[in-house]
Order: sequence, then structure tokens, then C-alpha cells
Amino acid sequence: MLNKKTSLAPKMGMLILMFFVAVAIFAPIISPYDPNTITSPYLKPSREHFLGTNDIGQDIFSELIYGARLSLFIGFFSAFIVTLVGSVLGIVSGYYKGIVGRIIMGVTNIALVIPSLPLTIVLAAYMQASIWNIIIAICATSWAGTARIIRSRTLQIRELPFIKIEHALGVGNLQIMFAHILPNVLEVILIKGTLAVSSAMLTEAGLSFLGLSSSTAKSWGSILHYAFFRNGVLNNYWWWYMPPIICISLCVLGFMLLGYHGKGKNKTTNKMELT
Amino acid sequence: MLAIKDLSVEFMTDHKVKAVDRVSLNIRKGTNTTIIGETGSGKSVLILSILRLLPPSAKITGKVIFENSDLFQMSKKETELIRGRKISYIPQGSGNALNPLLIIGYQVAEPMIVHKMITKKQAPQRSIDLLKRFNLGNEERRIHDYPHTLSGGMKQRVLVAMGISAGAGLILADEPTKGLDKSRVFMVVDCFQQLKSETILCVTHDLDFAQVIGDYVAVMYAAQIVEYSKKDDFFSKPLHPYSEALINSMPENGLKALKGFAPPHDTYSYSGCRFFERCSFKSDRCRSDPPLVEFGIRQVRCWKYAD
Repeated sequence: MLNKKTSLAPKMGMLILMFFVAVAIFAPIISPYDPNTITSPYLKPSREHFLGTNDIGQDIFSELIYGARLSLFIGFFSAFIVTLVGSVLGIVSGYYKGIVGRIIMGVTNIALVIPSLPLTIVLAAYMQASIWNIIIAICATSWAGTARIIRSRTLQIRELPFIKIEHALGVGNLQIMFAHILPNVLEVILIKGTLAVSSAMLTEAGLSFLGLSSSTAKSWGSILHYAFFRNGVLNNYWWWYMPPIICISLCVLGFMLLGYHGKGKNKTTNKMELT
Repeated sequence: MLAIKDLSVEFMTDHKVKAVDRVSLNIRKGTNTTIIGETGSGKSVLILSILRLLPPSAKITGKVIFENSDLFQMSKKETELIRGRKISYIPQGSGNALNPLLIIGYQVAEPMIVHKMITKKQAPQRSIDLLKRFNLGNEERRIHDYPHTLSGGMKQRVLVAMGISAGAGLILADEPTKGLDKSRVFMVVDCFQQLKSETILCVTHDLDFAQVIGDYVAVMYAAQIVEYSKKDDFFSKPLHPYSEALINSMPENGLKALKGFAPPHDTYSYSGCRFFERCSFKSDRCRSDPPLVEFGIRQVRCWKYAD
């Protein structure tokens, strides 16, 4: 995927993400405490508690490590659904330009103009607080952008000569869409998917910060939530609120570096645009 | 085998454009017919309309009878079954005629896979066999290559293999020599000579190619067929003034250029001979529609032979 000529940026992004994924996978080994064990509250950083403890005496460093699991899981899982739905709708609506395409695009346009954060908040507030509902709330709004981009790419591809030739040789519509158009839009899908992970993680952090996530789930957003609402910010306990902010920022940066700079490697597509 | 009767194609843009005007043509089984014409004379549209591949804005009238059934009366499903398996299509190789992101081995075998003639597992072997027929060279390795690694001539041969892979009896070819230099044209000629036993309807503006390939020649000018004849008669004694001018423009006949240009499609709603402006035999009666004069199977649309 990465070749020698590429700049440092995607490699850095990859490195950051691999670090966090490793942390998430090996959380039980790395973390010094179970994040749910309760000791004395509001401890400052010390040798025993690297980043101190929170308002009910849980070790913040362990919370942070376990938080990587949930934050990344929600990020990847919602991005997967968003990308899957967006790609299928995008390809179908681009391929069937007629009534089907127009209906799908009508719905997509509506989904695009609805301000997504308020809708997500409303959805998350009306449903019971749980991580699955957070995922649903994230997915409900963010598939539209992907669908539009994939559609416009599909509109380009479907006019290329080889599509007409496939028709002429009796290849069916489904086969054309998913065996011929899909590989040609895959690059866009991967880039959009990478960026979708970071935006899903951000939304998750925002919703958790507002207290719309499950109260026992440990994610970076929920650490921030408690740091803010249990006077951690007010008392400037920086070891409480800064680490999750740094982790979220780094992760988003990692995905951005990978997504924005990881494109344009596919020699065959470049070749295609030249001819 | 294939009978085209009064086929007209109109495009409904802001004003009507008639790209094919009452074309009738009989293709006999096992013969090769080439349609010669300038760019814009409607030859490609004719080919595409037979396979119903034109956009919905095209209004098609007339009949195309293939093996006793009218292609235009068929359902979508039936058309899909005929495409590739009974009637096939060989496009021009320039541009993206092959999917740039799929290996050629798969693309060559795909028509066989979609028509359920072979399984995916058999695909590589079948593509190797097919490509060997057309001397692609190094076929075992080539089938794993992507189209951009092929030269224009190789691409065209792959497309020919792809076109015939599902065993269609009738092959429609759309300018298979376009964009190739002369030595590569001969390779394509070899490919087509391999297919001599099939029925081929080939559109081209390469007269040499038509001379080698065709048994019959139809000349298309401004959406109409102006002459139809056996190849040898055509090249030795063309009847229509346009055909004569075409033959004279061949390098071996003195490279005499035709004056003027073929009229654009939207201008010939007028009556009368469409070649009128450029014809050196024109007379007053050419201002009304010329009749189709028949000499046996030979046909010519010109007043010169009306008497």
C-alpha cells in the first residue's frame, strides 16, 4: 500500500494508529489496575497511580488504556457501517441514474442538510444510553457524504467504454456494479472509510462528553465527561482531562494523515485517467 | 441470419437528429459484411442499436430479425441472454475498452462465466486457450496482467478473444482497427481471418481492412446506406459517386482527397440526395430523393442508375 516515494505523513499516521491499536488489544496486560477498582478519589499523579485517580478513586491511566478499546471499536465499527451503506447506495444510485438514483439521492440530500450533531444528540438522548445507540446515532447521519462521493465517481466510471462492452457481452447489472465498478471506486471508499473512523471517534467523544453514552462504559469521551462534571477541569487537574484529549487528537491525526496522504498510489487508476 | 428492416434511429435532443435513416441490410450466415463510412455517418449507432445499447433518448423504429425473432420485441432478460452468447460485440481497443483494474484473464473469460458455460475455476485455462488462438504470446503469464501493460494491438486481440469467448455466432465489430498503425492492423486482420467461419458485421473506415475482411461491403453516407455490393465488384467498379470517390482516395489509387465534408446530422432533414453538395455528377433531379436501384443483390442509391 505504501511505496518508497510516499512522504512521511502516511507512515506517521500508520505508526500512531498501530500504537493505539496495540494498546487497545493488550489493554489487560499493559494497564496497572482494573479501571473499575475503587481506591481513594482525587489522587494526584504518583508512582502508584501514574495519572492519579478520578472522583470515585479509579486509576485514570488504566481507564485511558481501556478507553482506547471502546473509542477505537466505536470508531471502526460505525465507520464500517457508514462506508458499507454509503458505498452501496452511492454505486446503485450512480449506476441507475433514473428514478432509483433520484430517490436515493433525494434521501441522501435530506440526510446531508440535516445538521448532524444536533440530530445525533437528539437520537442519543431519546434512545437508552448505550454504546450501540451511540453507534446507531453516528451512522444515522454520516453515510450521506460517502454516498454522494461514491455516486459521483460511479457516474464517471459508468460512462467509460468498458461498461458498455460488458453490457454488449451480456453481463448483468449486479455483476457490472460489484465486479467492475466497485474495484474502480475502491480507492475512494478506503479513503472515505479512514476519515469516517476519525469523525466517528470525534462524534463518540462529543456524545460521551455530553453524558449521552452508557454511564459505566469507559471511553475517552466519558473520562472527559467525568473530568468536567466532577470538577476536574475546575480544579485544573490536568492529569485527568488532558490525556484523553491528547489521545483523541492523536488518533484523529493518525487517521487524517493516512486518509489524506494515503491516496494516489494505485498505478492502474492513474493510468486510466491518463488514457 | 440477421435481417435489418427499415431501421431508423433518432435522437431526441433539442431538435431531432436522425443518425440512422431507414437502413435495410441482410447478413447471410457465414459471411463478413463491412460497413464503410466517414466519422459521423451513423455506422456505430447502427451497430449499437442492434444490441439495444443506445441511451434511452434514442428512438428506434424498424425491425431487426435475428434467428426468426425480432430483437426489439424482446424483454430485457432475453436480450441479456442473447448478448455475448448469440450476438457478440468487439469494440475498438483504444481507450478504456478493458476494465483497468481487472486482470485480462478474468475479463476474457467473464462472458463465459456470466452465461454459466464454465465455472470460475476453469476461467484461467479457457482464457489461455482463447488467447493462444490469437497469438498473444506468453499467454500463461499474460492472463495475470492488467490491461495497461498491453500495447494497443494486444488489447485489440484480447478484445476479440473476449468478444468471441461465449461462442456467439454473429459478431458485431466497431472499428477494430481504429488508432492502430498499419503493422498492427495486420495483426487484427489475422485475428479476423481466424474468425472467417463466423458471421461478422464490421464497421470500419479503413478501406484496406474492408478489402481483406469483407465478403460484402455497404457504404454508409449521412445516415443512409448508399451502396451495397459484393466486395470484389465494389473495389473494381464502384457505382455510387461517393464510393468511387472513396476508392480513389486510397493511396494505391492516387490518394485523391474528397472535397468538402460529410454533412452534420442535424442539417439533412432536407429532401434530395445527401451527397449533392459534393457530387461531380449532380443534375437537377438529384434535388429529389434518389431511388434505390437494384442489380441482383447489388444496390445503389443514385439517380445515375435510375434509367
